[in-house]
Amino acid sequence: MSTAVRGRIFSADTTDKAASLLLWVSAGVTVLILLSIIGTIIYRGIGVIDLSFLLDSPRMSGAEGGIFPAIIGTLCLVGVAILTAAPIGIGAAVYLTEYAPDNAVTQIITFGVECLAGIPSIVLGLFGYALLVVYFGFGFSILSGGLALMFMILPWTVRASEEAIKTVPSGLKDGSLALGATKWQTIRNVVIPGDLPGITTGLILGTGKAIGETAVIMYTAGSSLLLPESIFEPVRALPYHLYILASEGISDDMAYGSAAVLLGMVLLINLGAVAIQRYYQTRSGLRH
Amino acid sequence: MTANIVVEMNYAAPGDHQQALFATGIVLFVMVAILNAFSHRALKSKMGVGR
Repeated sequence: MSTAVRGRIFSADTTDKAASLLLWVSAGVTVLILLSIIGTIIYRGIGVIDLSFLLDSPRMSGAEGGIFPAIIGTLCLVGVAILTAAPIGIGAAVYLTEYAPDNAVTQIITFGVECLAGIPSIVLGLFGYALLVVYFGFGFSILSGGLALMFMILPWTVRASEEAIKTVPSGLKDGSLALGATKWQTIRNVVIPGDLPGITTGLILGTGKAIGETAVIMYTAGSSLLLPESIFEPVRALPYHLYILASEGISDDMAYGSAAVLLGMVLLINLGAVAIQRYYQTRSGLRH
Repeated sequence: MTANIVVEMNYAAPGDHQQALFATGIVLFVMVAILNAFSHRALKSKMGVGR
């Protein structure tokens, strides 16, 4: 072993080539896994996808018909989650980067954000059920499910916003303060606009996480197959619909069809995040 | 443990059974907290920063 490392058996040139090859293989395997997942899902799901699958209501508990209510349900849940996570997350990030003193309390808050990010989603689902569904009496509804999802994406929103705020050049902030602006004016007019692309990207990636989440909404959003009329009504999100179709053996074809649609939504969202990042980078001259 | 919560929550009656599932949640949370504490330690000793 040590001889190989010192290059007695293999020359430095050979080990260098071997290392490049191994690293290339690792990168290749990662992409291969992604492609094989996408390939399998699309291959098995594309057969049932047409306009009526996207725009019809399910019949016979989802064995026939479409998935329109589940798509709408997913969008509603994610909408509630993002709209509530954005202000809280950005606020917490501004506090942590601009206001928080470097002391034990701040450390505990940072640690808390990390722990929140690490909580298994089913535990968040149980908590959401106990707090929102039962204690607050929201019942199985878009509101309960959306807020439970917000608990899940909040730490990621805080993290993304924090990183974005750190990239705002301190010269800009100092300039604003030197002109006599208050701290809040500086934050509102310099810091927040400056890191908008980072915050937006963070929120979009949060959407991507929330859209595929099943465990959190299982015991909070209900499993109604009807179109919701208000945020106090239950919905069935697409991943949960897929789970039920597959686990109760209702229809494998419909399950793969739903999976393909879900995958498409997630890919679209990630592409959107990339596009927004590029747009801002080009505009600010970071990319030519 | 996570899968156990998913499966049993469907038929757990309020009372001991549900409480046991919530307790499972607490155990999971404590595990996460301990892992986080370790990574905090590692970061601190390597780079001298706490975040």
